[in-house]
Amino acid sequence: MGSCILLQPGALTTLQDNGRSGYAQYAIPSGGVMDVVAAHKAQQLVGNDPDWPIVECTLKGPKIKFESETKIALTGGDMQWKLNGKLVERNAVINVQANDILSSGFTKDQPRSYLAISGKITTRYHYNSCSTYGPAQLGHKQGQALAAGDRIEWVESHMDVTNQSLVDQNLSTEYIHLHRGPEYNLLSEESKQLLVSEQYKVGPDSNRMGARLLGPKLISGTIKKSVPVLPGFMQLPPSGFPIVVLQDGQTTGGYPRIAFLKSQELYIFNRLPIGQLFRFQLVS
Amino acid sequence: MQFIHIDKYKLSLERYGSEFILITSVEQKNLIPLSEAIYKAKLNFTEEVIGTDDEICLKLRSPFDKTSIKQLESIQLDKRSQPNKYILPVHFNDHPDWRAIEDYSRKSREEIIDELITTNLTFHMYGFLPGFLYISGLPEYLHCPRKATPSKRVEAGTIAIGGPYLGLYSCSSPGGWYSIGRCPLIVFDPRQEPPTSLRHGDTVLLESVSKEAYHTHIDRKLDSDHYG
Repeated sequence: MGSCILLQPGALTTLQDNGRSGYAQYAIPSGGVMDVVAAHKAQQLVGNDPDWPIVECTLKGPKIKFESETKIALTGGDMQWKLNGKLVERNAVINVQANDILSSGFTKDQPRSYLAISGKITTRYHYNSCSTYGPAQLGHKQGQALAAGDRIEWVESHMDVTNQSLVDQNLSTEYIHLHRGPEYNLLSEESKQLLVSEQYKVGPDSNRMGARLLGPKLISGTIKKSVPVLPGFMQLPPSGFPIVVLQDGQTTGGYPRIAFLKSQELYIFNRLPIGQLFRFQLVS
Repeated sequence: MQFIHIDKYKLSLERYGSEFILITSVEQKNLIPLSEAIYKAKLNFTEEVIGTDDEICLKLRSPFDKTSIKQLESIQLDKRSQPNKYILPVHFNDHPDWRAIEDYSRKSREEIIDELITTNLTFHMYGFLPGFLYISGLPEYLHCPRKATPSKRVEAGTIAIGGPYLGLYSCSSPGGWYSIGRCPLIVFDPRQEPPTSLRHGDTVLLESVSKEAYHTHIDRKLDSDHYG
């Protein structure tokens, strides 16, 4: 058994894994890590199964005191991670001792950073996943984010086989791949052009349910009834500003689904810093 | 686009690369019973099945090929002799939303409650948020359009009206429907598999309960035919 304790929680620090698929029928979103490639990389570095629980940090990282010796790895955004006050490398195995303090600050780039701890974190599973999902109180801490004073405990264990980790496609976040959605043709001709010719950015009121985009206003026809939606779908509400449905998003919606991002590429979109300008590139 | 048949349904199927498939009815039949059957079949190539009135979405886990179509076409809907009956105890409270409903329907709260507890309602579908129930069968005069600005927080257990549906919020969330009362039962239980037993077509009856009775039923589970 190993453990660590959160001294400061950061902006939004949660336990996640690969999510709970197969329950969208009951309107339960898949959830899970927002940057699957960064998360798996961290797990691989410390010898964990890629579906074991991992700590996902959003925008501002936590401050953690370790109570036992272990190996950790940090991937994703640059939250200026420090061990006992000294900057540490990301994407590398770090040995920590009991009483070591891991601290961090605001991200300098990507919004999410992952902390993998060698071993299997003890948590609560709902539908085969510990992924934290607040609205239905699912996963670790019944859907609550980690708070100061919370202890993370794990059982020492490692994978014997080499993980089949996902290959980082290393695509830049300057252009985000987009595919025509079921209601693409409800967009006005001018809006079809604007969607790919102009720059967009992820707005500050985005969360794990959806990314609200800021950029040129689009115009489209409407649909009469609610239809299915999946993570990666781009909806166009009457405001004219598109929303990209994310991991914790709704499973049905009443807005035209003008486009979609491939689920395998959604992690690249999720790496966009809030407010950073980018363009969509329509691919067929 | 391609055409397939499942049981009595004539369907068209549209593929979106290796990501997902959308199925629609050629004859504009309601697709929720079919979506329940596809979900129940646990086909190996589907990761998610989401059904709405007019469309079924299959998120793909593996390539969709001729075998997948055969698997889909061999699905049979189970013939139920009769739907299950569920009784939902509701404490009709004095929520401020009642005023808007009275204005819209031009009926009093008492008249509306009388009608609601004597109407056979029908469970329609899940959607929006985990365990959110869409229940159909409301009299037309209660089909209030949703609020222009949603309320920031609607408590779990709230019974509300939105368009043609009566809704039950299993989780607290923002919401644009008009609240009329609270149901004390646990309708959606994440510790259970499946999390809820209601199926499309099941009969739902509302029973008006006092505030005291509401508290005695709190945290009991929804069960067909009775709630004790």
